[in-house]
Amino acid sequence: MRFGVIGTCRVHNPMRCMIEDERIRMIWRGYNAFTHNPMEAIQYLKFARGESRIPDTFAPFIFRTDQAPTVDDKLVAEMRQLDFLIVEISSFSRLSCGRYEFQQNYFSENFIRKGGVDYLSWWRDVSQGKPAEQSAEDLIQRLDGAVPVQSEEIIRTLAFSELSDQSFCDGIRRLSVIAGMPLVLVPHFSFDHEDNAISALRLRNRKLVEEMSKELNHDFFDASELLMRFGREAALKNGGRDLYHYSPEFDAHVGDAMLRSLDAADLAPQARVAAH
Amino acid sequence: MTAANLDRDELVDIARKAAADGNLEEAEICWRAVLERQPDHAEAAFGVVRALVGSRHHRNALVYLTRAIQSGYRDQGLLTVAETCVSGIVAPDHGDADPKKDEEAAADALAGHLRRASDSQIWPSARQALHDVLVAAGVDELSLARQPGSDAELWIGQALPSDKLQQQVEATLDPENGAEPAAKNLADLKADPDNAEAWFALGRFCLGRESTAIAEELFRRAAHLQPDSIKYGINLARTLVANGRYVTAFRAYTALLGLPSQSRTDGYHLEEAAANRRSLLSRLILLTRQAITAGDPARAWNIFLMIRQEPDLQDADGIRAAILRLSIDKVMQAHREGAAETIGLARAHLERDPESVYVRQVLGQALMTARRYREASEMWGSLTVSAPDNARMFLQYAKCLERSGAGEGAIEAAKRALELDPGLQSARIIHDRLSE
Repeated sequence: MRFGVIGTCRVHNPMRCMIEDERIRMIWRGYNAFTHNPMEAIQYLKFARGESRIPDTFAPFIFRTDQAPTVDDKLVAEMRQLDFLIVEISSFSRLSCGRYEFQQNYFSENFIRKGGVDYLSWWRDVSQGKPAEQSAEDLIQRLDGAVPVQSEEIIRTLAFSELSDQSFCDGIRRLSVIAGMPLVLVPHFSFDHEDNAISALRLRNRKLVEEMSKELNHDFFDASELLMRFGREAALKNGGRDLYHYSPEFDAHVGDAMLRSLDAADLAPQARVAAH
Repeated sequence: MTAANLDRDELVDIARKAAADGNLEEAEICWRAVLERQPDHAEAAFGVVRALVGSRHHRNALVYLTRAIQSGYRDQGLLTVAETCVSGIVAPDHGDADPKKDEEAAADALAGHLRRASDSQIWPSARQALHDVLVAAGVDELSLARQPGSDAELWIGQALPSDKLQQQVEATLDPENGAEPAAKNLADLKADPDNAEAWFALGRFCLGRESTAIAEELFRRAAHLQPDSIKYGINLARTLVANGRYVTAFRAYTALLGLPSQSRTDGYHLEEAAANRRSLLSRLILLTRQAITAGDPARAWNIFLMIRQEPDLQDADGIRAAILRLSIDKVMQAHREGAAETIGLARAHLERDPESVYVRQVLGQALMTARRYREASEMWGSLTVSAPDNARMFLQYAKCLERSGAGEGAIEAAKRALELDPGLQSARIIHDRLSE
């Protein structure tokens, strides 16, 4: 059985550990960008299938590469043979420019930081959900009009939004239709016992992803309980203080648990991972 | 195929073929790659516009449209695509623009959109580019004028980038003909592009050589840098008159009169500004009447809006009535002919005369004909408020609500129509059908 993986390091790294342990085999890894929300996952899937294209200009904000990766016939053929997909949906934030979905971390790194201090005020406004058009003119003037057209497009039209429950679920429904195969949906890990904004957001994320799994009859894998049993200090980087990244030991643990869960769900890979 | 491995000409060939085959996404990717290799490739910029308009990303498209125009794109189809693009930003709920519209009709519609658009919808550089294209296409500049305001931006407008302006001046310099002072000014500007006096001196230099179009830009740059300078402002205003831009010149003189005099020379300039403004007012009154005679209500109305508060304007009510008569005639003619322009003309009229019950009915009917029932129901809904005793308004409202899927509202509207006129069979049919 073959499966693909879409999401962040929290699903890619555990699978990489399983590849290193030779419990599964990787058959294609031309690129490995991370995605957070349902729309990014859809874009990634359609791109890998050769159903849509990404301009090289936007590759740094989607793939963290200078050019869009090559999608060749071999990859398209492999994608056609997938039996299911593991998809992590971990965020409600959406950053889009026209029909392209940007990955927020890559965008900060490759557009804002490279742009320098001139971009900060514009980015502060946009990331607070204000329309880019409100502060675009100021930035363009500050840059004395010397902006490549592709950057001007971003400056004038970039849209940041927090997905509502409805849009988030609709995105997963659309992903399910476009994927056309069984999915294993994975939320961000969360702590039930913590009462703060991040936890509230993650609990909402887990609740909705689980609800969608049931509604769409997909499998669901949540590492939260596993993490608590493993111990937060050991499971997360920096002695448990890093709220986003698993420790290498826990990556292997999650990979093992995922494969067991796939066994139980009767979706077990015999030995291979396709689009990782 | 990956665009990264191809050179510009190969990409252009693939993009053209993809566009001809209707594969807009492939074309877009290739045109974008062409722009990375040659940023001023006008055809590529316009190719991206076509793709983005096709996927309804109109704001994104406008960025590339502006670049295409600035890079010199003027080919057939520009105005039609530009109109669709701007229409998608200014009136996104009004459905797609008619793709079969000819260039002349597209130019008129585009001019209308530009008049209505805010600066956040159509930013200054895009507005300027579209304005230039429309003027080159023969649209009268007066028809493009927006409502007057006190903001200096309205008359100073958007200054060209410094480097382009300097290039334009350099192109006019004749080494054999006293170009030294101008060359010195240009050198000063290279060291300090914000040297307003150097821009002003270059403006005077170009004016002396009858290069009034460049002079206007140079004075505009100086006025941009020092908007409270009466000297720069009056030279810009004079040059605007010389270039036949009377509406903008009128605004410029009006704005100048609000500036404090700092010197005796300023005082003379302000006296001149007041006199020139009076003279321009007479010209604008004449132009308003000429526009009415020429059957151009948009142009006439735009000039009228600017001068209607002037104490020297006699018979303002008569002029207004004449423009509205002309405007309503245009709506009626289009309505009689069943023309697609009826909706645009009716909307334009309602901007001038929002309470016109007759034109609101025409617009409601035209929207129904175009199957735009949601917009039509809004129109008929407002008419039921304006004419609460008119059964036919409620009947039309009921029809639109039914066709836009608002069954409950349709029953209520049909019921009210029947209360007002129990013999109204269409209302009874709707009521009974939906009540079953």
